[in-house]
Amino acid sequence: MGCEEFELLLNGYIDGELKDPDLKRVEKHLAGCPPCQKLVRDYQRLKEVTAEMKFKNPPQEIWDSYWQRVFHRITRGVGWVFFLVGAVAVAGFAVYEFATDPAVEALQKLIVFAIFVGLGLLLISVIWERVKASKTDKYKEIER
Amino acid sequence: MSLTEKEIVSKCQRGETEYYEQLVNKYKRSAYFYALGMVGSVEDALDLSQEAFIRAYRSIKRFKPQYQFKNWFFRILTNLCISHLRKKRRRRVEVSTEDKEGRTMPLPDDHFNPHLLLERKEIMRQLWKALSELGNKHREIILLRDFQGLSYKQIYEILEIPVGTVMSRLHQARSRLRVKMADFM
Repeated sequence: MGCEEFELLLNGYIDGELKDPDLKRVEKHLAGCPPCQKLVRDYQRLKEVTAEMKFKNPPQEIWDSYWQRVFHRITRGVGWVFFLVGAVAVAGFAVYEFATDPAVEALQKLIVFAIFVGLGLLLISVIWERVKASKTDKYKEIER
Repeated sequence: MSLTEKEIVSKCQRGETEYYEQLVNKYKRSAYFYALGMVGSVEDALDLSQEAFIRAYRSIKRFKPQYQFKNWFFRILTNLCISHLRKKRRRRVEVSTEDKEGRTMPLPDDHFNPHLLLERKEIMRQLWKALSELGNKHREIILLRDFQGLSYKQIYEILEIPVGTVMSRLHQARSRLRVKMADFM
């Protein structure tokens, strides 16, 4: 095995992840190879510096409200599901009642049906346009 | 009597949301700082780490108890960060400028600012810059191993790559980092 093949194992060596027989082979190679010894020193130095790297802590309020924000977003999702299921059920019931009401004339039903179909199609068209635009809009990141 | 992590996860799987707070409090800091290392922005790191907790909760019933929650959660967080960085790169190319010769120039990135570092020693600034210049896969493995201090087995569970690949990817990442940090070696 040349130095190149050992380079891969050196990472396992400095991370303490090597076991025999690889560990013994690396130790034996290192004992007689100054370039690999230098590599180990450099990698260890890199590891130390990375482990020392610390970021500024955000203000304490961020940590205090962290769970609340996660919790609200979890429960908000559940709330929307319930709302949508309920809204669809109410709308379906209203449409059924209206369509089967003998007191309402067929022409009236047709007109109301046309209005709602028209509104539905307009809504779908607007949503579709927004979805398409959001994929290609170059300025969506700009706050208005 | 305090519950073990497995017991807490089990309660969350039965829909007892209030227990999830314990898991969030336990991992919120490491999640935030890992995301910050990945994306280099405080706002994005906060948003991504919280989104990862939400997604983890929504799919917690699929979590298999033989794994560690932390590893499973970090897999979700890593995927979110990578997906975020890809979207951001695409946006930067779309929202680009042209130089005098008409070549497309992406807008400068204000992320990975040295002001995010607690200590702004020259070596730390250089390391932060070097990390930002690494590819996503190399940055994530350095952060998981050397910043979070995870074992190869944990990294294998998070990234779902064999231990041999963990070692070779670490080798590539550290080699590149070593070149970028040559003045400090």
